[in-house]
Amino acid sequence: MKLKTAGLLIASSLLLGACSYLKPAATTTAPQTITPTPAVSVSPTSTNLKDLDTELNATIDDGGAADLKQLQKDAQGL
Amino acid sequence: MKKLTSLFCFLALALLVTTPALALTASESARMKRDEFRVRLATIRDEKKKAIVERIDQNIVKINTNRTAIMLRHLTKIEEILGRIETRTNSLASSGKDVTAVRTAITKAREAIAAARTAVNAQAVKTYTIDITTETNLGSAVSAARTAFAKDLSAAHQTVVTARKAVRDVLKELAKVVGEKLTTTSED
Repeated sequence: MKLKTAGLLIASSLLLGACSYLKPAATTTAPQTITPTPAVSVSPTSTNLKDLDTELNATIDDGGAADLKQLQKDAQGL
Repeated sequence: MKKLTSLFCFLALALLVTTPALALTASESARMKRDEFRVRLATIRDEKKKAIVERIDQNIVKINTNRTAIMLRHLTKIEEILGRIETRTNSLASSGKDVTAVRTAITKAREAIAAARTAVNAQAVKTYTIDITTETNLGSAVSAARTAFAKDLSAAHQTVVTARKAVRDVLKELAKVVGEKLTTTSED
């Protein structure tokens, strides 16, 4: 009898654990979509115009537009 | 005379009492606002809404920290590129080329970088508090904080764009001296 109860307890614990593992994610998500700076394959000391231009262009990004958009999306639940 | 002394004493006392309140620093004021936010957040009964407000509040801080760090990193890179452009300019000048226009552009670019750095550093220390009044007004309170933050962050980013454009203008002037052509970018 005791063995049966213990078995039931273990089974229900396992079931509960599996349920919490499979539980869907929260409604809001962390909007950390930070775009890494693209790798530039030019010499870091080059004074070649095209190299300098490439390196300068590599600093172009969206300024956080994607993060702000996600923030707006998260607020829709209110 | 006695009345005048009493009045003077009263004014001195009033000044003594109000001075600490007037001397509140910006950080203290921000901290007080944060404390008030915490208290008001606790009064929200809808747990789902409470979690959303809390998450948005935290994410505004995270995004601001990360984005301003990226902006500062980019400004350092832009400044370093400008340094190399200057090296090339000096070398051309010593070989007899006219680099007057390039030097003028370099000065403008340095100013733009300095202005951007100031703006981004100011943005990095800004705080945004969701002004919770009632549970029904949560949406508009969050929207107000989010909109203010988005506007400020975009303004800071725009200063970086301006600095980069200024450095690109230097490159264009240098390209004219050298006789090379640069490809157009999305920011041209």
